[in-house]
Amino acid sequence: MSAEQPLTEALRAVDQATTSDQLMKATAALVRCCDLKAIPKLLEVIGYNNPALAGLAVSGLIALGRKAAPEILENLDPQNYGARAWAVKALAEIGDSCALETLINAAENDIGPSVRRAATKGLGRLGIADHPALTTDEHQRCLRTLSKACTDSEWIVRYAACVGLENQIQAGDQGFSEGTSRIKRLASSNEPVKVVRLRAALALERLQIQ
Amino acid sequence: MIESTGEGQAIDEQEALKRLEQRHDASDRYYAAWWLGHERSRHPRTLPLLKAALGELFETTSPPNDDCRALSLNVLRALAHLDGSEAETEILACLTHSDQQIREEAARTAAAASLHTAIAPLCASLSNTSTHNDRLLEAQIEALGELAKPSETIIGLLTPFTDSEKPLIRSAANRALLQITDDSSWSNAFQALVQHPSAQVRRGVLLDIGAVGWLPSLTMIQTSAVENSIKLIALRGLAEHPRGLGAAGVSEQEACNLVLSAMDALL
Repeated sequence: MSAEQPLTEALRAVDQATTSDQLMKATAALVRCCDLKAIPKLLEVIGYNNPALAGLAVSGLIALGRKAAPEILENLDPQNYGARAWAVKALAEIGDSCALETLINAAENDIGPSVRRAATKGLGRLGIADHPALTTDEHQRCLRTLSKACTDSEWIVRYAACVGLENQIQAGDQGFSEGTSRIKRLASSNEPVKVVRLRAALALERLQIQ
Repeated sequence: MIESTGEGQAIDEQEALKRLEQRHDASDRYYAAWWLGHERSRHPRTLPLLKAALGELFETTSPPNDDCRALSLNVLRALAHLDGSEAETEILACLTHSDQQIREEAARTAAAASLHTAIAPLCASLSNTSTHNDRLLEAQIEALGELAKPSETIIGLLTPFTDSEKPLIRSAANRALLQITDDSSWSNAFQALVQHPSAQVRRGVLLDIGAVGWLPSLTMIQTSAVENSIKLIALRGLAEHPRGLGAAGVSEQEACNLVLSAMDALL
């Protein structure tokens, strides 16, 4: 039996699935292959407007790690912002610095709030923990975009920006005074949405900022 | 019509007020009404102009023409974002208007404006609403959930809808009864509803749980087969107005931290 066989079979099973249950099982098998050649099919599946299925496919993309990032980047679907949000989420979780430009562009300009949200979350994690370090310039651009996202028109993007800034400041950017003042503003009565104020207050408490 | 107005162009508050006030270009007025609500306008002329525009609906006894009807719907939506109580008389009149969609939008606006005077007309109207008119039923049931205090009458009126064959009506009725009574037995139905094969139903159920702020359903929201953007909206409700803390066995502070950390994970 060749090593290709489970992959070929899983790809065929996805194509031949006629019920959502079959599609879930086939996609799970494809994810288990843990093969870079599964990427195009996983990206196709996340565009089917089925959240449970998309979540599964995204977990498969994340499991493939940094090597998957370039192909995900090349195949972002300009027509389908639901699919784009999932793909950006995968990129954000993988945290490869080659995704920096895409994440900045998506966070600042994408028309889909869920895409801006996922990209903003990703920027909050770049260069942190087991993610590869960013250069100083990359890091500054990342922080600038997070600061800008604090004034997004959608509450959930401002929420994600607050989480992202907290992470980045916690990871070593205590000197980033613009970030802390942005979080303070989100915690104040200037912010109309209560849950954003609650999250910003929690960030200030964790960062021990008065 | 659309070409002449430049719909979608960036306009400011003054321009929106001017467009709403004039009476010859209907689509300009339609857009202006939406704009004032979307921007949460607090200009002193905003509410009087919206109130007057809604009043036009009652200038004749015949059914409104398409322009008047469309404008009224947008005015009602705008009032849901502003202080709708200023237009209490007009909103109450809309609750019993001959047009179904106007009644539906008025129910939402009355709930958003906390108009307790709307309870009696809503109850009367709900008893007469056709069971085929799902959207109107949902809006009326949900409005009563927001506004009504617990009483035998209101519980008796809403309870039959928990056996509706339509899943979203069942969900709305359980949501309303849970809001009114705080009795956790009304949350039991969500468990099955959230597994419904239709994604649209699952989304609606999550939004209903969020509207109540029912904290014991936190895990159910997290693990449901619904896109994260809807889960996040539902969780916002749990964070902003949590209920069922006793049933969940947590303090308000613990509840808030649990919900926020669930939201962080779903971004």
